[in-house]
Amino acid sequence: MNEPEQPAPKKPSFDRRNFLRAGTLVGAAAIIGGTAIMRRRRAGLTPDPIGEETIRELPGLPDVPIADDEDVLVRMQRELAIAMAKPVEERRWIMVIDTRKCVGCDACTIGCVAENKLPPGVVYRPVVKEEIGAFPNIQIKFTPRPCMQCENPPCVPVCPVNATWRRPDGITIVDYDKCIGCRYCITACPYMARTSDFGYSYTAGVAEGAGDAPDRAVEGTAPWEKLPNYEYAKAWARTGGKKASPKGNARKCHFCLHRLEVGQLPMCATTCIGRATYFGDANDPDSLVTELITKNRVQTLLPHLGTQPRVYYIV
Amino acid sequence: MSGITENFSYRFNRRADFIISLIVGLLAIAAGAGGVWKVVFAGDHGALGSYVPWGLWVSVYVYLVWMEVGMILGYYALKHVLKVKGIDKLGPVIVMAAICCLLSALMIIGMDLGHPFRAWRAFVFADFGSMMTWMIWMHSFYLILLIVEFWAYHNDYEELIKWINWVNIPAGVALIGVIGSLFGVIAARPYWNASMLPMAFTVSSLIAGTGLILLLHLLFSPQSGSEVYKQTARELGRFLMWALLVGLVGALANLLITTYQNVPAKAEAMRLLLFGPYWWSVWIVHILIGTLTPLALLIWGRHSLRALGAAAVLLVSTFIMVPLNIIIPGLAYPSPDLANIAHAFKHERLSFDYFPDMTEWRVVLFGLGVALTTFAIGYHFWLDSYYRRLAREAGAALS
Ligand code: SF4
Ligand code: SF4
Repeated sequence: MNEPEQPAPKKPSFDRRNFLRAGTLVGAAAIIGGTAIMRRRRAGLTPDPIGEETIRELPGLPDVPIADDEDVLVRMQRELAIAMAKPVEERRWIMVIDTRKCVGCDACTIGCVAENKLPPGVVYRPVVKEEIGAFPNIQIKFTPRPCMQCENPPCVPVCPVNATWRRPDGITIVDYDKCIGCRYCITACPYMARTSDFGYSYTAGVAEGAGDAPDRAVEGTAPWEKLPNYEYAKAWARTGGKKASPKGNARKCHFCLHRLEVGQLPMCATTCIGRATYFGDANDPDSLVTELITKNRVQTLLPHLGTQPRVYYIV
Repeated sequence: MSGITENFSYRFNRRADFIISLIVGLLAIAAGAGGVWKVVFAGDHGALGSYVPWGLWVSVYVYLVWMEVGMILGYYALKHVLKVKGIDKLGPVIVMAAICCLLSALMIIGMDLGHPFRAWRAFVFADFGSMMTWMIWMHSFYLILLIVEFWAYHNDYEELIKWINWVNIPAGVALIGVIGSLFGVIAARPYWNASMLPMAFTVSSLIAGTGLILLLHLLFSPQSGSEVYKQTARELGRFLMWALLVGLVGALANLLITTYQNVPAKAEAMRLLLFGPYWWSVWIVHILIGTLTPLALLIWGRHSLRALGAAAVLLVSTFIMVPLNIIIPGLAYPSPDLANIAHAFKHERLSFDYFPDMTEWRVVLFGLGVALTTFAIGYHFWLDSYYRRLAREAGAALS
């Protein structure tokens, strides 16, 4: 008698072996992905400098005589012109801050706010004050903290859209039109040098207090707040909606790149009443900043992180 | 006759369940809509600031992704490796729940962006050196996979489901690993900066996912009420208990090592977590309600379906505390060298004190409402007929 045909036992659709295969796939994918990430991580500088053109022919202040007691600002100004005449990749901007001279006046912070028209909640260069010792033997230490323009900036590789990158002259910038506002770079900066623009204004809702209507609030924001700032050599007016850049973007100190491009020192260096902030090209062996970092005891912040800051502190 | 078809009774098909879920979901959407409006049109960004730039939204995103991927990984691990037979037919409902978690997660994280309408740039101008790019790409890929898988279930394309599993499991592991790495690679945040973080994320994902599988089994299993159903619930409870214990040991090891090392930035974050102003959220919500109570229920109440259900509900609903407790303390303490930075320039957005405000909670409510509504609609219009068909076929097999 014929046995009725038994249906073949159904193979489990996804058994242990398949599971292991899947595991192998994970491993392979991880290796490929990891290699891609490391390659990208090591790629280093973005080769192209910003902007249509870079101003390279600035007057070298030939009429200003070099005096022994000349103000350091005059010297730095002259050196800036020399540096700007070089191709961008041959400049290496650094900042030197003499903490012995800093009096904690915050003039640099405020100068920066004014220059870059920073809205409330955005700051590029706060001066951190720290009390050292116990009363009566105390001292206050002032640490102005601009962006360190790290040689190895951890804020750059984390950006998912390449909106933040390091120029050949070492300044790390944010492309406001590309930034999606994820704030990953803010978490990655160990110096807390990036802040987010939350779209605040100084005058919205503030009483105008004028004439016959002393209680009237300023409508929208005061006109002066709508004037553009010129970061990255572009006019960024605060007239657009809540999502018009730089609102919603990560923002940071850029060594006043737009001022450098027209032959001016960063604002903080010029407003420092103690002449404690120096700026210049470290590739120029005769520059003031080179002199300062080679002849003094200098420190960088959080050196153990390997970011190699370009802001040096004389202590 | 196998035990599966023997007791095949499809119960969760009442119209009332659908209507109630829909109403609750829509109410959540309505309650949260104001928050979404404020974020999208008024530029409100909750209580986030520049020193604590990520908070509730990123944490809820991580929580939802853990559940979404954990459910899928847990399901296939339980079904194919640990051979838990009684969850065989749970696939479609799990995939549907995962899709809902994913939609909600994407919506909430979209709100976190300063420029959400530029999110497309992450696809067109992607930088693959960033973990965030990988996260965005992998999550999008995962979304496509889940949708195709759901479609395959709905049309009984078993071969296709098998092939999707092939990709789904590595893709899920990779997605969770990438999200763990997104935090783990940040050297600036010593509390996050650990090579074990992706592993911890994977374990957390499996715990949350298994908890949700147990819950979905109890609520939606087509074999509801049968002996197989009860047996499976107990088995799932046992796996959940072990997963939870593994997670606990990991957390304890991390706590002890961090405390012993006493590296200021890490130890301070831990101190802030355990004894800071929000100590109650850790000790009471997370440890007592979210961990010890479910564990006790899983151990001593393992024979009671109600106890298992309660354990799953408590665990899943409070598991949000895990990403919150990883993400926020990691940000809420500056490097000791810049300890006074919040006093250097005063503004409410330049502060290390962070607690989510109403806008943030409302956005989350909106997101959860979207998830629940989508689930209710998806269940009513697709899964219901799917399970009815299964029940009919099983009935035919019995007769
Ligand atoms: S200080 Fe911060 S923002 Fe500036 S380059 Fe370094 S990591 Fe980037
Ligand atoms: S906030 Fe902007 S610059 Fe920073 S990582 Fe995100 S997209 Fe890049």
